Amino acid sequence: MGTQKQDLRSSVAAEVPYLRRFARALTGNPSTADDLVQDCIERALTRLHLYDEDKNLRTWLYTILRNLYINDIRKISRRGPHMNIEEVSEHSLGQSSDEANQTVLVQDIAKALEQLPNEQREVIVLIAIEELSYEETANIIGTPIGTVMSRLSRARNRLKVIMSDVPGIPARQSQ
Amino acid sequence: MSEKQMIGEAALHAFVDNELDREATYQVEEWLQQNPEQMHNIAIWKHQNEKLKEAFDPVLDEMIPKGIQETLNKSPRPPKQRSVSWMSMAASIVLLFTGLTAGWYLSQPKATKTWPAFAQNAISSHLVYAGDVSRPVEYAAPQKNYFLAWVKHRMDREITPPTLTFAGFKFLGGRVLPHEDKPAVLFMYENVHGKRITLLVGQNKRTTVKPVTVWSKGKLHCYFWFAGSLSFSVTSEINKNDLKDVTDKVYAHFADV
Repeated sequence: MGTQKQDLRSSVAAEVPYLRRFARALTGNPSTADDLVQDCIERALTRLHLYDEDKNLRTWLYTILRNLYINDIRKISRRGPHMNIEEVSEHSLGQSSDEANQTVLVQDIAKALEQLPNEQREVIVLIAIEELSYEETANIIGTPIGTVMSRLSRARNRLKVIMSDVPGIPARQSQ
Repeated sequence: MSEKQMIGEAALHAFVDNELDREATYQVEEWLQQNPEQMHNIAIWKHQNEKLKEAFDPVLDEMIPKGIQETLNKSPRPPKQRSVSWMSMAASIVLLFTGLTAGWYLSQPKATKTWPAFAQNAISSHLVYAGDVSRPVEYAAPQKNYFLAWVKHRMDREITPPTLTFAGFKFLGGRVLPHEDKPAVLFMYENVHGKRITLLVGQNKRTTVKPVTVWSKGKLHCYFWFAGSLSFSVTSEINKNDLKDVTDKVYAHFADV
């Protein structure tokens, strides 16, 4: 029993580089990202007894991290009395509403990623960077696969606009 | 946008992300040949995928920050629940740092690498030998029986390579090479597109168990696991999902040994 737990802890340790990459792409900030990973590991280690070994460890850990991230965003939304969750989900963490409405044409894809609404960013990060399947992504964010696909499509189209050379096209497009 | 167009776009995304089965992939490829203007979007999305990986993959090779390492090494029981003397805490931390199981490589003082030596060997061998166009193997497929007899002689046990024809890969041959000062064996396979898979089987210094882990380095993916006295890896630059299917077969093949 003791060695089984040790193996599980070392399997969690092996996932840390991937968690760090996921958190970095989600938050856009190295120290915020590592704080998120640390919280995720702490939570995972206290919940190891709840982990079903038939399930994918990485998916389980990503779900924990992603939920912590969403909670962090909600905490920030409560500081502003007029912001509700739907509005907050349209802004990257730490961005003012003015910035989000402007066109910011960027060459840097990391900067472009930060401009996506959270629900689009998390999908394209899980699929393009973490190379998870649509199904695994749907499990992590808790939606049907169709929702994953429509958010992915919007993410890609928005990235295309943000990184395009054509001036004057607003970053927000009505779909 | 008409529904038919929407369905079409969904298939294109799925095509870019390797979500389609062989049949559907083939159909989309055919359709693209007849509608080449659609290739434009495919190219943009693929480029985005590549740029995103390029921007964030380097994080995988970074040193793990101290705070996270400490969290991993923390004793499972919170300190206030039982009184533990500083000496016994220090002793248990030292035990963790000496790495009694293969998984604790994170705490070993290696400069930038956090992967086990076996996986590094697998990637390195793949780069050197699979990258050799004219002479990738020492013993080619026609000498398979002789080669396997030689492997049995060097490694003191019979290692039979699996058949990967279900995935379109034919056996090319292999060679004996070192792993931790002992003879290991590298098997190589190739498909019609010239893509290669290498399978490294090494002997462990001490009995170690580790479940299947995947390490993606650059274009390569390396699935590896430790099963007691032997370690196994499956390395290739082919699509990760396809490689995982191959790994499942390889794992099952050697699990019966």
